[in-house]
Amino acid sequence: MWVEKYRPQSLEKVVDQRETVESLKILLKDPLTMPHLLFSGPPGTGKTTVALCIARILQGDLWRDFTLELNASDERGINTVRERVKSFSRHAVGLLGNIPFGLIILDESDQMTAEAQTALRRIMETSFRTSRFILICNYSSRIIEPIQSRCALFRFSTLKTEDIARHLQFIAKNEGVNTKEEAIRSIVDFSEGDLRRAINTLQAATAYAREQPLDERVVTKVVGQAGPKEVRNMIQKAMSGQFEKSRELLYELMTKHGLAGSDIIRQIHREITRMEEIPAKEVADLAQIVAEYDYRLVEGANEDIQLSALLAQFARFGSPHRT
Amino acid sequence: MWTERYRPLSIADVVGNEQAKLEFIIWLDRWKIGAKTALLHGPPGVGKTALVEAAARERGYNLIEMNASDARTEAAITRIVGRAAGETSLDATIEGSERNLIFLDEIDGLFGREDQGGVGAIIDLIQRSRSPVVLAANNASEPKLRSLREYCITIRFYEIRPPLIVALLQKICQLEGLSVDSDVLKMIGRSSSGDLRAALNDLQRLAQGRTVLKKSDIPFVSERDRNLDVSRTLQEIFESSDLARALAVQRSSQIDYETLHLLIHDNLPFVKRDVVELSEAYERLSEADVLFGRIRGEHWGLLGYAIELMLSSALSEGPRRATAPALKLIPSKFIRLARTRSERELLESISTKVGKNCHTSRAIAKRDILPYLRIMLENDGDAAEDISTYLGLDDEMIEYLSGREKGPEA
Amino acid sequence: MITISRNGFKLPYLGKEKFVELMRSGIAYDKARGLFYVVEGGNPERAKATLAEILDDEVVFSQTCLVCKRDFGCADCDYRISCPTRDVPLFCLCSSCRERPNLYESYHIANEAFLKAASTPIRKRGVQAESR
Repeated sequence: MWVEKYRPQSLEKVVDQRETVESLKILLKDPLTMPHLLFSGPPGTGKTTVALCIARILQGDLWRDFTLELNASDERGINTVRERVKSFSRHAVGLLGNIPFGLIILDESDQMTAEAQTALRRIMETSFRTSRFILICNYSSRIIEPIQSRCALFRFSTLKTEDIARHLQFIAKNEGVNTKEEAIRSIVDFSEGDLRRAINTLQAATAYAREQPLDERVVTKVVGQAGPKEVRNMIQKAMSGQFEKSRELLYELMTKHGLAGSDIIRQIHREITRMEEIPAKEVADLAQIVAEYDYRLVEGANEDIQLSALLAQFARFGSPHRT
Repeated sequence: MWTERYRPLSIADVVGNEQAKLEFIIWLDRWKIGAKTALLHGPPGVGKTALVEAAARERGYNLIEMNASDARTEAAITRIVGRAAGETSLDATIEGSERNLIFLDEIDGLFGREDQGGVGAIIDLIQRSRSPVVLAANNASEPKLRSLREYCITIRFYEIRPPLIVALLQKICQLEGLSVDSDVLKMIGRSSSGDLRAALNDLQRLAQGRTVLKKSDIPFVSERDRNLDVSRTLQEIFESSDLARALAVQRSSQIDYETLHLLIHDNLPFVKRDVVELSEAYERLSEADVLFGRIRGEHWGLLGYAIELMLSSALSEGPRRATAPALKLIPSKFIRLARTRSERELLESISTKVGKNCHTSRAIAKRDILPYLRIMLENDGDAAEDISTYLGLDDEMIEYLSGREKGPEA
Repeated sequence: MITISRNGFKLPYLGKEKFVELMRSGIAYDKARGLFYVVEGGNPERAKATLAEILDDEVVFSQTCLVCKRDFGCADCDYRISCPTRDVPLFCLCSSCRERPNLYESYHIANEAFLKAASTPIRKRGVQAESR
């Protein structure tokens, strides 16, 4: 996968984030004084990449043995995290003298509840002797204050479109892909500053185009396929009064694509702002309905009932427009 | 048994399937040697056998009847039926009549080792017979019967309509000196699924040892009819116009409220055809769902309120609306979960692998990377090979993602 | 939702493919009256689906009451949810006839009349069979 093949392995090669990288370099000069780190910023801007680079710098070639990668959403709770950190600390660290400490990269840390974060803080404290945490999140405001005060905060900003484009062209050239400039621009637009998404789109589009040159048309096709076409279709069916079909599509999203209710509702929200057939005033009304059901989704017992009810409201909403 | 006592003696006595009866008589009256056989098909208990027997009686045929419950090998068929196919009768019971009607009932039972050559024997019989042959089956499109079809005209029997069933039951109650609440008869009619024989049996069973049958005398009928209870409960709730009645139905039903909640959800769009009605009903159901969510584990005091809210979403809004297909009796959620479990597991393990390799979580891998991965695997065989090796995907996973079987060579 | 009377209904222009499809599902065309009608022994479920596609709406067939001969729809029936053959064009009992006293007798008489009127005379055979 190109995202991994072309992932920078040294800080110099990281796309953008000059300030952050420079500050980090200074910090890394004296590793033993390094605190826990907190990286925050939009997706696909290099947070994980930089964390992995740091691992290489501090731990050399064997960094995989001394770095633990965790995702808050994959772990079933803070207790699982604690267990994994404990066993990691026991085994990995202290085996080689010139490695200062183990690294624990905890991604999606802003998705942890405040309670879980409080427990995390204690874990971070007790591990400090042997390990350092690199917390990764999208919104630092969601990280509780006691953790923030124990970390050095580094903000990752949205990548500049020219830089994304340049990186894509570099990859394309290396892979011997013939691309049109409009295609690159299309990909950059669609990626909304997320380099990972941009690279994946490039790779998928290349696969799709096969022998043909990669032009904008191909990109549009690929983006339609990979993207939220099904969600849009589901909304359209609901609004045109075809409730049962729309509900079937919902079930497909939930089972075949394995999307969670919260994912679906988030995409619904995104789609209604993008669908041209919905006038602006209506978008606002619809958004309110979506917000109401987003709330109910959290507390409700059955996600499929809540989302079906939302689709029913869409159906009602769309009905005066039916010819 | 009332099904025996009240079996139809003439064709007009057979209730329902008027068109089918007509087609059958026309066929029978016009039959001559070499003409096609009649294949009657349709669900059980709707009068196929009754019609053949009544027609034979009314038109003066000697009925030679065989059923799937008899052991049926080629030899047996030939032995029992063969004598009527062409030879003059030697049997005293057939005296006085040259006209035989040969009836092979329930020929779907013609499968399995015991019925060696059953279909062939029947075809042979049809071709050689000097008497009309009638066949009956539950399902005419069954592949094993296909070779038979060119020798037959097919006559379709439908489920008996509830009002007709009720009319007949009413008459029988009168004959039996039984005083029955019309609501009871309607209930039996509703839950019969068009099977007149079953309805009659149900009535007899309920009326055992009574001369009066009121609605309150109906207990939960029997364990075999979980579907009966579900179906009846749902229908009555959807047809109720006030909450008190719906509550009474729910309480007397064996269905737990959680299943009922899911069943109402499944069936709402079939019952509420108007979009505004549907959205209002769903609004209430969603509120009930939130309450159910909150109740979980703790706030039992809310339960009564939640159930009322749930039921109120299902109430009928005044004048009858457009029709709906038959109700779903098993929550679709259970079906979906069971059916797609292995797919979901596959999806989860793929997401885990991808997540590990791309330094991200399972959820992000599933949502943001898999869609692209699918396209890559689907379109570029060579790259797909590399990628799947890199990610550690096995053949089943590749097949699932690319929607394509892995060929003998990549 | 469109209710179609089994005995005669109009359709917009179809085109050969759809026409053939319809014929196959058991609908025929009566040139004399200029109407389509449901053929007996066809496949009403498929006919319903084909018609729904053609007319781009939900299609239901009306029923004929065997006793009073009226055409009526399933929408107002007490059994609309539980009836297994709803919207299929069959004979039935309309809501007013259901309330008759001696309903069964009325049905029986109507049944006999229907069978007699519609069937051809019995072929005379050598020996007249006696009913037993």
